Amino acid sequence: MIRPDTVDESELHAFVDGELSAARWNEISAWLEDHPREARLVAAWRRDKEAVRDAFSRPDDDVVPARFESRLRAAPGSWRWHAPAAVAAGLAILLTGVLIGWLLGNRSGAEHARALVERALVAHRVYSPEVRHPVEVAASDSGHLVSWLSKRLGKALIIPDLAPQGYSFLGGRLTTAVDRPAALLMFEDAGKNRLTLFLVADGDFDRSEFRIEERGDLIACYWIDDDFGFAVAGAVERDQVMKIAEAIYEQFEKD
Amino acid sequence: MDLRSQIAGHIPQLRRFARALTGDPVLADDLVQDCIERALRKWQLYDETRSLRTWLFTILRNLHISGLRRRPGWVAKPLDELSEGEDAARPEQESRTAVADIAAAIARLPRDHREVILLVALEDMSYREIAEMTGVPIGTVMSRLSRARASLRAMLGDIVHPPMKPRP
Repeated sequence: MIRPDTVDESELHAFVDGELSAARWNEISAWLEDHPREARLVAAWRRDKEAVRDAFSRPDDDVVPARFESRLRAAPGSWRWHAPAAVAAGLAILLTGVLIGWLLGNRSGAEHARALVERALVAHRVYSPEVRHPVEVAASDSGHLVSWLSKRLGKALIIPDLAPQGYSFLGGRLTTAVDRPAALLMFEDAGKNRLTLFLVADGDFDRSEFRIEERGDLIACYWIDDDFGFAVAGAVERDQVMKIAEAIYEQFEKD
Repeated sequence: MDLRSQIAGHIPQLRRFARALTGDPVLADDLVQDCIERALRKWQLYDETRSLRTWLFTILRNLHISGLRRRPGWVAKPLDELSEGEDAARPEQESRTAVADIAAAIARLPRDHREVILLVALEDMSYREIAEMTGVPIGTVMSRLSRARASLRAMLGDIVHPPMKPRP
Protein backbone atom coordinates (compact mmCIF):
# COMPACT_ATOMS: atom_id res chain seq x y z
CA MET A 1 0.00 0.00 0.00
CA ILE A 2 1.30 3.41 -0.94
CA ARG A 3 0.95 6.43 1.28
CA PRO A 4 -1.93 8.85 0.56
CA ASP A 5 0.37 11.81 0.10
CA THR A 6 2.04 10.08 -2.82
CA VAL A 7 -1.14 10.36 -4.89
CA ASP A 8 -1.95 13.80 -6.17
CA GLU A 9 -4.89 15.04 -8.19
CA SER A 10 -3.08 14.91 -11.51
CA GLU A 11 -2.50 11.20 -11.02
CA LEU A 12 -6.19 10.70 -10.45
CA HIS A 13 -6.93 12.37 -13.79
CA ALA A 14 -4.27 10.21 -15.40
CA PHE A 15 -5.96 7.21 -13.78
CA VAL A 16 -9.31 8.12 -15.36
CA ASP A 17 -7.74 8.76 -18.76
CA GLY A 18 -5.61 5.66 -19.04
CA GLU A 19 -2.36 7.56 -18.86
CA LEU A 20 -0.76 5.35 -16.20
CA SER A 21 1.29 2.20 -16.43
CA ALA A 22 -0.61 -0.94 -15.49
CA ALA A 23 1.38 -1.23 -12.27
CA ARG A 24 0.65 2.31 -11.17
CA TRP A 25 -2.97 1.96 -12.22
CA ASN A 26 -3.32 -1.03 -9.88
CA GLU A 27 -1.68 0.88 -7.05
CA ILE A 28 -4.02 3.84 -7.44
CA SER A 29 -6.98 1.53 -7.76
CA ALA A 30 -6.07 -0.08 -4.45
CA TRP A 31 -5.44 3.31 -2.84
CA LEU A 32 -8.91 4.48 -3.87
CA GLU A 33 -10.47 1.58 -1.99
CA ASP A 34 -9.36 3.29 1.19
CA HIS A 35 -10.17 6.83 0.08
CA PRO A 36 -13.90 7.08 -0.57
CA ARG A 37 -13.89 10.84 -1.07
CA GLU A 38 -11.33 10.63 -3.87
CA ALA A 39 -13.04 7.50 -5.21
CA ARG A 40 -16.33 9.44 -5.51
CA LEU A 41 -14.55 12.22 -7.35
CA VAL A 42 -12.91 9.80 -9.76
CA ALA A 43 -16.25 8.11 -10.37
CA ALA A 44 -17.88 11.47 -11.05
CA TRP A 45 -15.16 12.41 -13.55
CA ARG A 46 -15.67 9.11 -15.32
CA ARG A 47 -19.42 9.65 -15.52
CA ASP A 48 -18.89 13.18 -16.80
CA LYS A 49 -16.49 11.91 -19.43
CA GLU A 50 -19.02 9.39 -20.67
CA ALA A 51 -21.82 11.93 -20.47
CA VAL A 52 -19.84 14.40 -22.59
CA ARG A 53 -19.20 11.71 -25.19
CA ASP A 54 -22.88 10.72 -25.22
CA ALA A 55 -24.05 14.32 -25.38
CA PHE A 56 -22.15 15.01 -28.59
CA SER A 57 -22.50 11.65 -30.29
CA ARG A 58 -25.26 10.87 -32.70
CA PRO A 59 -26.60 7.62 -34.05
CA ASP A 60 -25.72 8.72 -37.59
CA ASP A 61 -22.17 9.75 -36.73
CA ASP A 62 -20.70 7.13 -39.01
CA VAL A 63 -22.58 8.38 -42.05
CA VAL A 64 -20.39 10.81 -43.93
CA PRO A 65 -22.53 13.35 -45.80
CA ALA A 66 -22.13 13.46 -49.56
CA ARG A 67 -20.70 16.98 -49.52
CA PHE A 68 -17.56 15.72 -47.80
CA GLU A 69 -17.21 12.62 -49.94
CA SER A 70 -17.53 14.59 -53.15
CA ARG A 71 -15.12 17.20 -51.86
CA LEU A 72 -12.57 14.48 -51.22
CA ARG A 73 -13.07 12.84 -54.60
CA ALA A 74 -12.36 16.13 -56.33
CA ALA A 75 -8.77 17.01 -57.10
CA PRO A 76 -7.26 19.21 -54.38
CA GLY A 77 -8.96 22.55 -54.57
CA SER A 78 -10.58 21.77 -57.89
CA TRP A 79 -13.91 22.99 -59.08
CA ARG A 80 -16.32 20.18 -59.69
CA TRP A 81 -19.01 22.07 -61.47
CA HIS A 82 -18.91 22.70 -65.19
CA ALA A 83 -15.43 23.83 -65.96
CA PRO A 84 -15.06 26.19 -68.87
CA ALA A 85 -11.53 27.50 -69.17
CA ALA A 86 -12.48 30.91 -67.79
CA VAL A 87 -13.84 29.41 -64.61
CA ALA A 88 -10.82 27.15 -64.23
CA ALA A 89 -8.52 30.12 -64.62
CA GLY A 90 -10.60 32.16 -62.21
CA LEU A 91 -10.50 29.35 -59.74
CA ALA A 92 -6.72 29.14 -59.90
CA ILE A 93 -6.63 32.81 -58.98
CA LEU A 94 -9.20 32.21 -56.27
CA LEU A 95 -7.17 29.40 -54.73
CA THR A 96 -3.98 31.42 -54.91
CA GLY A 97 -5.84 34.13 -53.05
CA VAL A 98 -6.97 31.65 -50.45
CA LEU A 99 -3.45 30.34 -50.06
CA ILE A 100 -1.95 33.81 -49.78
CA GLY A 101 -4.66 34.76 -47.35
CA TRP A 102 -3.84 31.71 -45.29
CA LEU A 103 -0.13 32.45 -45.34
CA LEU A 104 -0.71 36.05 -44.36
CA GLY A 105 -3.35 35.68 -41.77
CA ASN A 106 -4.36 32.05 -41.38
CA ARG A 107 -7.97 33.13 -41.32
CA SER A 108 -11.21 31.34 -41.90
CA GLY A 109 -13.88 33.11 -43.86
CA ALA A 110 -16.47 30.45 -43.11
CA GLU A 111 -18.17 32.21 -40.24
CA HIS A 112 -18.12 35.53 -42.01
CA ALA A 113 -19.52 33.99 -45.18
CA ARG A 114 -22.28 32.40 -43.15
CA ALA A 115 -23.37 35.77 -41.79
CA LEU A 116 -23.46 37.00 -45.38
CA VAL A 117 -25.75 34.24 -46.64
CA GLU A 118 -28.08 34.58 -43.67
CA ARG A 119 -28.59 38.27 -44.45
CA ALA A 120 -29.03 37.51 -48.14
CA LEU A 121 -31.74 34.94 -47.44
CA VAL A 122 -33.61 37.36 -45.19
CA ALA A 123 -33.35 40.11 -47.80
CA HIS A 124 -34.67 37.75 -50.46
CA ARG A 125 -37.63 36.74 -48.31
CA VAL A 126 -38.45 40.33 -47.38
CA TYR A 127 -38.13 42.04 -50.73
CA SER A 128 -38.80 39.50 -53.45
CA PRO A 129 -42.57 39.08 -52.73
CA GLU A 130 -43.14 42.85 -53.06
CA VAL A 131 -45.53 43.60 -55.87
CA ARG A 132 -45.39 47.38 -56.05
CA HIS A 133 -41.99 48.14 -54.50
CA PRO A 134 -39.64 45.23 -55.08
CA VAL A 135 -36.81 47.67 -55.80
CA GLU A 136 -35.93 51.26 -54.98
CA VAL A 137 -34.46 52.04 -58.38
CA ALA A 138 -35.83 50.29 -61.44
CA ALA A 139 -33.82 48.71 -64.24
CA SER A 140 -34.81 51.60 -66.51
CA ASP A 141 -32.55 53.80 -64.38
CA SER A 142 -29.63 51.35 -64.22
CA GLY A 143 -26.92 53.96 -64.77
CA HIS A 144 -28.00 55.89 -61.70
CA LEU A 145 -28.46 52.69 -59.69
CA VAL A 146 -24.94 51.47 -60.43
CA SER A 147 -23.27 54.76 -59.53
CA TRP A 148 -25.38 55.18 -56.40
CA LEU A 149 -24.79 51.66 -55.05
CA SER A 150 -21.10 51.74 -56.01
CA LYS A 151 -20.74 54.97 -54.08
CA ARG A 152 -22.54 53.66 -51.00
CA LEU A 153 -20.71 50.32 -50.98
CA GLY A 154 -17.39 51.96 -51.73
CA LYS A 155 -16.59 49.56 -54.57
CA ALA A 156 -17.55 49.68 -58.23
CA LEU A 157 -20.20 47.09 -58.91
CA ILE A 158 -21.80 45.94 -62.13
CA ILE A 159 -25.23 44.61 -63.01
CA PRO A 160 -24.56 41.09 -64.24
CA ASP A 161 -26.35 40.06 -67.41
CA LEU A 162 -28.36 36.94 -66.61
CA ALA A 163 -30.34 36.87 -69.86
CA PRO A 164 -28.58 33.66 -70.97
CA GLN A 165 -29.91 32.07 -67.76
CA GLY A 166 -33.40 33.38 -68.51
CA TYR A 167 -33.48 36.30 -66.08
CA SER A 168 -34.14 39.97 -66.78
CA PHE A 169 -33.04 42.72 -64.43
CA LEU A 170 -35.77 44.42 -62.37
CA GLY A 171 -33.70 46.90 -60.37
CA GLY A 172 -32.01 47.20 -57.03
CA ARG A 173 -31.94 48.72 -53.61
CA LEU A 174 -29.62 49.66 -50.80
CA THR A 175 -29.97 47.45 -47.74
CA THR A 176 -27.81 46.38 -44.81
CA ALA A 177 -25.37 43.61 -43.95
CA VAL A 178 -24.33 43.00 -40.33
CA ASP A 179 -22.07 46.02 -40.07
CA ARG A 180 -22.06 47.73 -43.45
CA PRO A 181 -24.22 48.70 -46.41
CA ALA A 182 -25.29 46.03 -48.87
CA ALA A 183 -26.82 46.08 -52.32
CA LEU A 184 -29.69 43.88 -53.41
CA LEU A 185 -30.18 43.38 -57.15
CA MET A 186 -33.36 41.69 -58.27
CA PHE A 187 -33.98 39.60 -61.37
CA GLU A 188 -37.07 37.87 -62.71
CA ASP A 189 -37.62 35.03 -65.15
CA ALA A 190 -40.48 34.65 -67.66
CA GLY A 191 -42.55 32.89 -65.02
CA LYS A 192 -42.18 35.89 -62.65
CA ASN A 193 -39.90 33.90 -60.35
CA ARG A 194 -37.51 36.23 -58.66
CA LEU A 195 -33.83 35.87 -58.01
CA THR A 196 -31.76 38.22 -55.86
CA LEU A 197 -28.09 39.00 -55.76
CA PHE A 198 -26.90 40.30 -52.40
CA LEU A 199 -23.60 42.19 -52.44
CA VAL A 200 -21.43 43.55 -49.66
CA ALA A 201 -18.12 45.33 -50.16
CA ASP A 202 -15.73 42.89 -48.66
CA GLY A 203 -12.10 43.69 -49.36
CA ASP A 204 -10.91 42.76 -45.89
CA PHE A 205 -11.96 39.13 -45.94
CA ASP A 206 -10.38 36.12 -47.58
CA ARG A 207 -11.61 34.88 -50.90
CA SER A 208 -13.70 31.80 -50.47
CA GLU A 209 -14.93 28.93 -52.53
CA PHE A 210 -18.52 28.73 -53.67
CA ARG A 211 -20.89 27.34 -51.11
CA ILE A 212 -24.50 26.31 -51.24
CA GLU A 213 -27.08 26.93 -48.55
CA GLU A 214 -30.53 25.40 -48.82
CA ARG A 215 -33.30 26.74 -46.63
CA GLY A 216 -36.77 25.39 -47.24
CA ASP A 217 -37.72 26.18 -50.83
CA LEU A 218 -34.90 28.71 -51.12
CA ILE A 219 -31.39 28.02 -52.23
CA ALA A 220 -28.44 30.37 -52.12
CA CYS A 221 -24.95 30.18 -53.54
CA TYR A 222 -22.42 32.43 -51.84
CA TRP A 223 -18.77 33.29 -52.15
CA ILE A 224 -16.28 36.06 -51.47
CA ASP A 225 -13.87 37.57 -53.96
CA ASP A 226 -11.42 40.45 -53.62
CA ASP A 227 -14.02 43.20 -53.71
CA PHE A 228 -17.34 41.76 -52.66
CA GLY A 229 -19.14 39.09 -50.76
CA PHE A 230 -21.83 37.60 -53.00
CA ALA A 231 -24.96 35.61 -52.33
CA VAL A 232 -27.39 34.74 -55.07
CA ALA A 233 -30.72 33.40 -53.81
CA GLY A 234 -33.95 32.12 -55.28
CA ALA A 235 -36.38 29.23 -55.35
CA VAL A 236 -34.46 27.38 -58.03
CA GLU A 237 -32.75 24.06 -58.58
CA ARG A 238 -29.28 23.47 -57.24
CA ASP A 239 -27.58 23.11 -60.63
CA GLN A 240 -29.33 26.23 -61.84
CA VAL A 241 -28.10 28.40 -58.97
CA MET A 242 -24.61 27.02 -59.60
CA LYS A 243 -24.75 28.09 -63.25
CA ILE A 244 -26.04 31.52 -62.27
CA ALA A 245 -23.29 31.88 -59.67
CA GLU A 246 -20.67 30.96 -62.27
CA ALA A 247 -22.06 33.55 -64.68
CA ILE A 248 -21.99 36.27 -62.02
CA TYR A 249 -18.51 35.28 -60.90
CA GLU A 250 -17.13 35.43 -64.44
CA GLN A 251 -18.71 38.79 -65.15
CA PHE A 252 -17.32 40.35 -62.00
CA GLU A 253 -13.87 38.86 -62.68
CA LYS A 254 -13.83 40.35 -66.17
CA ASP A 255 -14.89 43.74 -64.94
CA MET B 1 -4.56 3.50 -48.56
CA ASP B 2 -4.30 6.94 -50.08
CA LEU B 3 -4.56 10.14 -48.13
CA ARG B 4 -8.12 10.86 -49.25
CA SER B 5 -9.49 7.61 -47.91
CA GLN B 6 -7.55 8.12 -44.72
CA ILE B 7 -8.97 11.62 -44.31
CA ALA B 8 -12.46 10.31 -45.05
CA GLY B 9 -12.05 7.87 -42.18
CA HIS B 10 -11.60 10.74 -39.75
CA ILE B 11 -14.59 12.80 -40.89
CA PRO B 12 -17.10 11.40 -38.38
CA GLN B 13 -14.79 12.27 -35.47
CA LEU B 14 -13.94 15.66 -36.92
CA ARG B 15 -17.64 16.48 -37.23
CA ARG B 16 -18.36 15.44 -33.69
CA PHE B 17 -15.47 17.50 -32.34
CA ALA B 18 -16.48 20.49 -34.47
CA ARG B 19 -20.08 20.21 -33.25
CA ALA B 20 -18.94 20.18 -29.67
CA LEU B 21 -16.52 23.07 -30.19
CA THR B 22 -18.96 25.35 -31.99
CA GLY B 23 -22.27 24.19 -30.54
CA ASP B 24 -23.72 24.65 -34.03
CA PRO B 25 -24.06 21.69 -36.40
CA VAL B 26 -24.15 23.88 -39.51
CA LEU B 27 -21.11 25.91 -38.53
CA ALA B 28 -19.44 22.66 -37.52
CA ASP B 29 -19.84 21.14 -40.97
CA ASP B 30 -18.48 24.30 -42.59
CA LEU B 31 -15.51 24.03 -40.29
CA VAL B 32 -14.98 20.39 -41.27
CA GLN B 33 -15.24 21.29 -44.93
CA ASP B 34 -12.66 24.05 -44.49
CA CYS B 35 -10.47 21.60 -42.63
CA ILE B 36 -10.65 19.02 -45.43
CA GLU B 37 -9.92 21.64 -48.05
CA ARG B 38 -6.94 22.95 -46.15
CA ALA B 39 -5.66 19.42 -45.56
CA LEU B 40 -5.88 18.67 -49.28
CA ARG B 41 -4.11 21.89 -50.16
CA LYS B 42 -1.46 21.38 -47.53
CA TRP B 43 -0.94 17.65 -47.66
CA GLN B 44 2.71 18.13 -48.65
CA LEU B 45 3.24 19.48 -45.15
CA TYR B 46 1.87 16.33 -43.55
CA ASP B 47 4.59 14.27 -41.91
CA GLU B 48 3.57 10.67 -42.52
CA THR B 49 5.47 9.44 -39.50
CA ARG B 50 3.02 11.31 -37.33
CA SER B 51 -0.63 10.80 -36.57
CA LEU B 52 -3.00 11.94 -39.30
CA ARG B 53 -5.67 12.39 -36.66
CA THR B 54 -3.52 14.85 -34.73
CA TRP B 55 -2.76 16.75 -37.91
CA LEU B 56 -6.42 17.00 -38.98
CA PHE B 57 -7.63 17.92 -35.51
CA THR B 58 -4.94 20.58 -35.29
CA ILE B 59 -6.06 22.12 -38.59
CA LEU B 60 -9.70 22.11 -37.50
CA ARG B 61 -8.89 23.60 -34.13
CA ASN B 62 -6.78 26.38 -35.63
CA LEU B 63 -9.48 27.20 -38.17
CA HIS B 64 -12.00 27.42 -35.37
CA ILE B 65 -9.80 29.76 -33.35
CA SER B 66 -9.05 32.04 -36.29
CA GLY B 67 -12.78 32.08 -37.07
CA LEU B 68 -13.54 33.20 -33.51
CA ARG B 69 -10.96 35.96 -33.73
CA ARG B 70 -12.47 37.23 -36.93
CA ARG B 71 -16.08 37.21 -35.85
CA PRO B 72 -17.00 40.82 -35.15
CA GLY B 73 -18.07 41.60 -31.65
CA TRP B 74 -17.03 38.30 -30.15
CA VAL B 75 -15.97 38.85 -26.58
CA ALA B 76 -14.63 36.24 -24.25
CA LYS B 77 -16.54 36.38 -21.00
CA PRO B 78 -15.44 34.93 -17.73
CA LEU B 79 -17.50 32.02 -16.54
CA ASP B 80 -19.21 33.86 -13.73
CA GLU B 81 -20.51 36.56 -16.03
CA LEU B 82 -22.43 34.19 -18.21
CA SER B 83 -26.06 34.01 -17.37
CA GLU B 84 -27.96 30.78 -17.54
CA GLY B 85 -28.43 29.63 -21.09
CA GLU B 86 -26.66 32.58 -22.68
CA ASP B 87 -24.83 31.58 -25.81
CA ALA B 88 -25.32 28.07 -24.61
CA ALA B 89 -24.55 25.80 -27.48
CA ARG B 90 -26.99 22.96 -27.76
CA PRO B 91 -26.67 19.83 -29.84
CA GLU B 92 -29.40 19.04 -32.33
CA GLN B 93 -30.52 15.86 -30.71
CA GLU B 94 -31.40 17.68 -27.55
CA SER B 95 -34.35 16.04 -25.97
CA ARG B 96 -33.01 14.79 -22.70
CA THR B 97 -32.28 17.43 -20.12
CA ALA B 98 -28.95 15.87 -19.30
CA VAL B 99 -27.72 16.25 -22.85
CA ALA B 100 -28.72 19.92 -22.96
CA ASP B 101 -27.20 20.53 -19.52
CA ILE B 102 -23.92 18.99 -20.55
CA ALA B 103 -23.77 20.84 -23.85
CA ALA B 104 -24.55 24.10 -22.07
CA ALA B 105 -21.93 23.43 -19.43
CA ILE B 106 -19.31 22.62 -22.07
CA ALA B 107 -20.22 25.79 -23.97
CA ARG B 108 -19.60 27.84 -20.86
CA LEU B 109 -16.09 26.57 -20.29
CA PRO B 110 -13.23 28.82 -21.40
CA ARG B 111 -12.18 27.78 -24.89
CA ASP B 112 -8.82 26.30 -23.90
CA HIS B 113 -10.40 24.22 -21.14
CA ARG B 114 -13.21 23.12 -23.41
CA GLU B 115 -10.97 21.79 -26.14
CA VAL B 116 -8.92 19.72 -23.71
CA ILE B 117 -11.89 18.05 -22.07
CA LEU B 118 -13.52 17.41 -25.45
CA LEU B 119 -10.39 15.81 -26.90
CA VAL B 120 -10.07 13.61 -23.83
CA ALA B 121 -13.74 12.67 -23.64
CA LEU B 122 -14.63 12.36 -27.33
CA GLU B 123 -11.36 11.10 -28.73
CA ASP B 124 -9.58 9.50 -25.79
CA MET B 125 -6.63 11.51 -26.97
CA SER B 126 -3.46 11.21 -24.89
CA TYR B 127 -2.20 14.19 -22.93
CA ARG B 128 0.89 14.17 -25.13
CA GLU B 129 -1.15 14.30 -28.33
CA ILE B 130 -3.25 17.18 -26.98
CA ALA B 131 -0.08 19.02 -25.95
CA GLU B 132 1.22 18.60 -29.48
CA MET B 133 -2.06 19.80 -30.97
CA THR B 134 -2.46 22.84 -28.81
CA GLY B 135 1.23 23.74 -28.65
CA VAL B 136 1.50 23.81 -24.87
CA PRO B 137 3.45 21.64 -22.37
CA ILE B 138 1.79 18.49 -21.02
CA GLY B 139 1.62 20.11 -17.57
CA THR B 140 -0.55 22.87 -19.02
CA VAL B 141 -2.83 20.32 -20.67
CA MET B 142 -3.21 18.56 -17.32
CA SER B 143 -3.96 21.73 -15.40
CA ARG B 144 -6.53 22.78 -18.02
CA LEU B 145 -8.14 19.37 -17.83
CA SER B 146 -8.20 19.55 -14.06
CA ARG B 147 -9.86 22.96 -14.12
CA ALA B 148 -12.30 21.92 -16.83
CA ARG B 149 -13.38 18.93 -14.78
CA ALA B 150 -13.75 21.01 -11.64
CA SER B 151 -15.90 23.56 -13.53
CA LEU B 152 -18.06 20.82 -15.01
CA ARG B 153 -18.53 19.27 -11.59
CA ALA B 154 -19.52 22.68 -10.22
CA MET B 155 -22.01 23.25 -13.03
CA LEU B 156 -23.47 19.77 -13.32
CA GLY B 157 -23.16 18.81 -9.71
CA ASP B 158 -25.51 16.06 -8.77
CA ILE B 159 -28.37 17.30 -10.89
CA VAL B 160 -27.44 15.21 -13.86
CA HIS B 161 -26.23 12.21 -11.98
CA PRO B 162 -27.42 10.88 -8.67
CA PRO B 163 -24.72 10.88 -5.99
CA MET B 164 -22.63 7.79 -6.18
CA LYS B 165 -22.13 5.59 -3.19
CA PRO B 166 -18.55 4.93 -2.20
CA ARG B 167 -17.26 1.61 -3.32
CA PRO B 168 -17.85 -1.22 -0.89
